[in-house]
Amino acid sequence: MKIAEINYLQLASIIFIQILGTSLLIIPGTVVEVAGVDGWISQIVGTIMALIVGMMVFYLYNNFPQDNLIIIFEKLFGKIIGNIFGFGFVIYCILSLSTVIKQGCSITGYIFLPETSPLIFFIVFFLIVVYITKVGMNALARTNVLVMLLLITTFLVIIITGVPLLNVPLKPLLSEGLFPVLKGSLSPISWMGQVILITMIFPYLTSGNKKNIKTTILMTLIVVGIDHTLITMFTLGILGLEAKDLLIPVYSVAKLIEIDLIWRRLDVMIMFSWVAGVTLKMSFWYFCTVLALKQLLHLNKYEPIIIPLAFLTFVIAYYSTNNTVELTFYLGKIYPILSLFSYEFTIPLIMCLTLFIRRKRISKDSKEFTP
Amino acid sequence: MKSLGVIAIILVLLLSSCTNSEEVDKLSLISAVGLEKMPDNEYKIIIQYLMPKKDQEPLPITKEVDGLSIYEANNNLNEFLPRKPYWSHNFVILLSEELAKEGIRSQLDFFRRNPEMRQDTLVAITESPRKILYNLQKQQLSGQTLKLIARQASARKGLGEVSTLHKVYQNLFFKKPFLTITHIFLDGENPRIDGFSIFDKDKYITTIKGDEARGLGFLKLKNKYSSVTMNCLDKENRQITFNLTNIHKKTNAYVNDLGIFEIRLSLEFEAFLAESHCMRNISDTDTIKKLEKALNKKIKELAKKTIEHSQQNVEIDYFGFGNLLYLNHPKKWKEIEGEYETVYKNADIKLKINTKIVQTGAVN
Repeated sequence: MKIAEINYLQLASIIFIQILGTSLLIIPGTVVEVAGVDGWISQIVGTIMALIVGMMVFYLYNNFPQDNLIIIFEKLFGKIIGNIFGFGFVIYCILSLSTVIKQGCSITGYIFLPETSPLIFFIVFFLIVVYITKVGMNALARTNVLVMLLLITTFLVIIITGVPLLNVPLKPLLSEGLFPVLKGSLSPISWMGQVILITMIFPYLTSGNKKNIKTTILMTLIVVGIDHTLITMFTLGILGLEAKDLLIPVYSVAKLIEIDLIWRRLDVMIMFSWVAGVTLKMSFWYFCTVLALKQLLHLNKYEPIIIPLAFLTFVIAYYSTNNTVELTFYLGKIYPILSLFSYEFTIPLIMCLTLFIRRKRISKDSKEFTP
Repeated sequence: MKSLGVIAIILVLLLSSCTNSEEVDKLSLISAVGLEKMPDNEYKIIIQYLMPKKDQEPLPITKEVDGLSIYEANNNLNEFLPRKPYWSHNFVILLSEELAKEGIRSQLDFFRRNPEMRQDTLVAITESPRKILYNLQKQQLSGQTLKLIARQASARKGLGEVSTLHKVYQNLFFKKPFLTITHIFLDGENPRIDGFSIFDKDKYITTIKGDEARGLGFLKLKNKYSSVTMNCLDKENRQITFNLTNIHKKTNAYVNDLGIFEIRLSLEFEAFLAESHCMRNISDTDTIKKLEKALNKKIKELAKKTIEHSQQNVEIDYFGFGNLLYLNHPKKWKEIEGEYETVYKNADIKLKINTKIVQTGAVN
């Protein structure tokens, strides 16, 4: 079977939506909560740390351009330990995906359709995710490019039209010391560390040369980091520490923008890009989960497990948190630590070290990726 | 697979139907709300709503209702409103002075929590919101009028900033809040903005009006217009009027080694000659210089009056000097934070005002 190809722009858009799909709305709030007016510095720190994760991802790609994460696990650690890591990855994916689903559904419900039953969002998102996963990587990649343009437009419009509203100075700098800034940077690192997910689609990157892939990964991360920093600066500059008081500060910023009669009620744009971004983010996570499970169970096709696994994930998501307070607590305090100490930082680091030490003894041809 | 796709599309189409849609002609659009406190700890809310009808200008209607909390009162509205109350188009929240004395942060909570509410709603203080809203109804004016008046008073008269819900909360989250809120009073039958109310944190203290209110405008606002009338240079009993804009403002605040809070304010104004009852010929530079000097003195006088009021009469810093100190010198702020009231009372405030007359109008 021919493997679908992904070009640089599509790769960049996948990374972009992977991170910004949900973080654009949520990340200023979670960071300001911890770091206060220094939140934007946290974002810069987070971006630098995320670049390290990006380098690790590229290091793996450089050595295993034809394999995906599950196969790399097996090649590096042998069958038993490799499979344990593999199953761990599937569980991590399901957990993360369920938080993404929960965010998608509860925030859409909370802001835009407060009177609609949450179950309806779960059903609609379920159907879309199942459908997109079934049509495969190629369609997903192309849709990502479209939605990336939408997200960039929303971002730019909010930034440009927000300029007249800026009135709170971002001072005093580091008044509480460096600790809150570092603590605040955990959340952006965990978000941007999700770039690790593209290790699942290495075999699709057939058309590019390695150097360009490296540039694409790192540049996209830098652009995302700039986006995070700017949106946090604007949120702080417009709302001040009032941002701490609001559930989704960026949404409130969009609601405040009013330039003449034309540029009003930009919250509609936010809704647009939020729904599109979150749908694609879910779909990509789910695609990777299904692919990983298929690889681990040595199945010929992944289609048969799409629907059962989707039921499992959506049910976990539905019962995961009871309200938005629990959700923001989980996203700000628990998830960053969970993810950074597992597949977003620690395990890739162990992999890279193992690879560095054992690079001559690793078998090159034990297994091959089949889509 | 195809069948699944078809089912998905059908479902999406079905789900987007209008089971609980909200048509405009099925809503009571709330355009202004007033809050008062009743003797037995109940709230009275007075709302003005618009009922859109086909091919007709919507008429404002005023109703009042009681409740233990504002939400409850809002809920009680359903007992006599024929349509669902819709808050997204609310323009004004009027708070009675008595209520504001208890702290406005808790009273405004309802308006913050409701995601339907817009944060650019005007918050204003008045003696009796009830009277104002009934008067608006009599004149068939909606709450939007009040918001527009507040905007106009700020931009053309220099009467403070438009205190929107967002601005109020932004200020309350500063290290040292310095809240001022638009004050509305009833002049005969017309609602009119006459100054602004000052707050200690979120508790209402008093309202400043007249010259003092204008002095605050000079000290705080940028790029807004206001006017100054003073005596002619040659004839004492005749007046000359200038239109002013503040184009540049620089404030420094620090605590010196002796523990004295020093504030240096430097303001630059552009002046346009608007009306003169004397000296038809102002073309020579000497006269212009003299006028500029006299203007400086006059503005300083007005500003000093406000500063004196703030330091001696109410002893509250409503200019935000404390916050400025915190922003630039957080360590110094920590030293004086506990006794800020006394430190501010004895603060040394120096003003430097520079006015330039840039236009003398179409008359030569």
